[in-house]
Amino acid sequence: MSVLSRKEIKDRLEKPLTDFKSIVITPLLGDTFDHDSIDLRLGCYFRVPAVSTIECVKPYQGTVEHYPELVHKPYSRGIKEGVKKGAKEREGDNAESTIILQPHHAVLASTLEYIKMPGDVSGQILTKSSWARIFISIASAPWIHPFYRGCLTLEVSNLGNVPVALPVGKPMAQLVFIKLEGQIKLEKDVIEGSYAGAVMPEAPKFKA
Amino acid sequence: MPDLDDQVRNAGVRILRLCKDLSEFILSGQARKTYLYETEIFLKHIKKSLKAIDKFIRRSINKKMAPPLAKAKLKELDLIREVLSWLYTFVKEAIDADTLSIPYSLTIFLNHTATELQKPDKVSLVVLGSSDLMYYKYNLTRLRDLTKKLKKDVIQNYPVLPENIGILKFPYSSAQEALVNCILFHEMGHYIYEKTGLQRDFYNSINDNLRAFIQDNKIIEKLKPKDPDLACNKLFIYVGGLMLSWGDEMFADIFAIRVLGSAFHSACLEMEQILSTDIKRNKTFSRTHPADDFRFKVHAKWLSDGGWDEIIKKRTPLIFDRLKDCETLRFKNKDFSISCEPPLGESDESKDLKEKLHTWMFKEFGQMVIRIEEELSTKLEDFENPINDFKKNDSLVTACLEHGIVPSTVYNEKKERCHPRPTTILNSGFFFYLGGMVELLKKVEVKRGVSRIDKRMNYEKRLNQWLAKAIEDWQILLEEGKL
Repeated sequence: MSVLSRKEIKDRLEKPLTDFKSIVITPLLGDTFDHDSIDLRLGCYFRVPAVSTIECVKPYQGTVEHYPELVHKPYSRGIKEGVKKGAKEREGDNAESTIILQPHHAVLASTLEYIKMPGDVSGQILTKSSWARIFISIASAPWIHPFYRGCLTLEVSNLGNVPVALPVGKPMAQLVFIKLEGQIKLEKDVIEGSYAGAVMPEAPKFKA
Repeated sequence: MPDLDDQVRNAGVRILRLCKDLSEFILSGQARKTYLYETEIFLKHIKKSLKAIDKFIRRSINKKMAPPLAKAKLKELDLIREVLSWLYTFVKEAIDADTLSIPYSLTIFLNHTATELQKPDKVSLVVLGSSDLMYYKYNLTRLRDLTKKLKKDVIQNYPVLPENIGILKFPYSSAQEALVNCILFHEMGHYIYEKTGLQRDFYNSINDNLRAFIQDNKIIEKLKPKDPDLACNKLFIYVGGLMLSWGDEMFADIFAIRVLGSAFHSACLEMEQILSTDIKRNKTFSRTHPADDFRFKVHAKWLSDGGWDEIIKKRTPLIFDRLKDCETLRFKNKDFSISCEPPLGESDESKDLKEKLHTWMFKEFGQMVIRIEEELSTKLEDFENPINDFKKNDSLVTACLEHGIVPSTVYNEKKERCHPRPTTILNSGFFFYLGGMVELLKKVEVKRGVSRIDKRMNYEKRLNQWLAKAIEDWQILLEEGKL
């Protein structure tokens, strides 16, 4: 098992999509590459476990389409637009587009970047260390399979004792690419799985 | 019967309650929702209006009034009521139009494009879900005039509806669609048309030419109506109403083709399939719209001028064939008809006149279309033809879609990073939807029990999501100065 370096990640980004080794990361907003990983930003869509009228979530007994509840925090409401378009009108608003995460609460988020994994590489998603230092933790299902594509779903938890504002569009996670060892048979591009191609965190789809 | 003073008080209190209910409805509806900046401006306008009305009425009904003053006050309350009834129609739709309930990224791009075109004015296009299975631009002229009158005559600090606000409506169930919502470019065209002042010119020339037509054909002498002035007026209303509506539609169509490209034509066909399978409709002009085939005849010309011909022929041959068929249609060959009856009576004489009138209307309308084309050619002279970016990036976008990838960052053969424009994303996306889905579906493996129809529907939905995300990404890249 080996970890892809920055150079290898960049080389693979430029490969044609027909090459099973190609990687896709879009949009790329500046130099987000580390030596052995890439930073991923917080996307604009969230699923919030809001107080609900749902009596009880019963997995495998029909999909609960509206739990957790979908929330959108547009990127364009970020600092620039807030200042440019009407700082006055937005008094009391946060200048940034954020979602507040209360202590010991969790929210489903997704990366702003849409990813396509190569056929010979798995991925692991990690919390960026600065966020970990204020007790924000990302992901309880951090493993990404070869050929997966979509915006990555992040389960963001606040393990601390104070509310934390999560800013849309800011780096929160790192993706590490891990090359598979042995003979690779995944040369034919395959799209599979209920959440393949998702652009936002989706409600769970339990299948018996 | 209460005296006038009581009447004022009762009416005022009723209006106050309505204002309060509406304000509370807005507040409760807005909780936890996020709105587009333009929708927020509109909601803010409604809230300010309600506040101004509330303040005015509280002041007015608090004091005893002499009958003449009370009478005048009742008239003022009537005007307020009229404005409120207009606002009422928008409150629910505006509250419902949070960013999850409208085609969000497309709406931002529409506003971006409209502002580019109307520089230095800032345009605020508010997109609302409509309960009709139709797209349209809402006409705000009456409301705007009423708010001006209210400010001038009654409430001095009443907020006049801003001139730059336009309201477009789409079928509420299509919020997550990127492709069929390309029709919104046509609706934006109506907004631009309103600002050109072209309609006023057409109104005047239609009136002048119709007057000459009535004289040349001795219509009054032949039909001998009891009231010649009334008969003429009815005819002016009929002819003017139809032709101005048709002109408005043609402007919006040509605008959308020129600004967006072939995706708009494809969206029209998609919408045609949803609305009707009656092919007779295709050659008949209605009270509000030119016949579909006439519109497509003009689409064909502008698509050809824009350089789309060969691409459409190669990618969607059936659509190309229909466009070419429509191009051969002519007014003079009586290929088109009008579904409405002119107000010329039922006599034998009138039958012949009706036909003459409709023939004349088509001739005049042909001239109108030429004038519209000239106006748009001038207005959009500096606006880049969407085909330029399409030719550069189409194959890269298509490759992305075939692999189930959001086409916002693509690499060309020289390994250069490119970001296709939203127009390219929509045009390539539409061609892909119409002829390329098979390539994508071949790569999709689904669990046992999922039918082919469900698989196709799921991935059509995905396609729309990817295109919407790519447009949203383009906005982000633009905002971050990365384009």
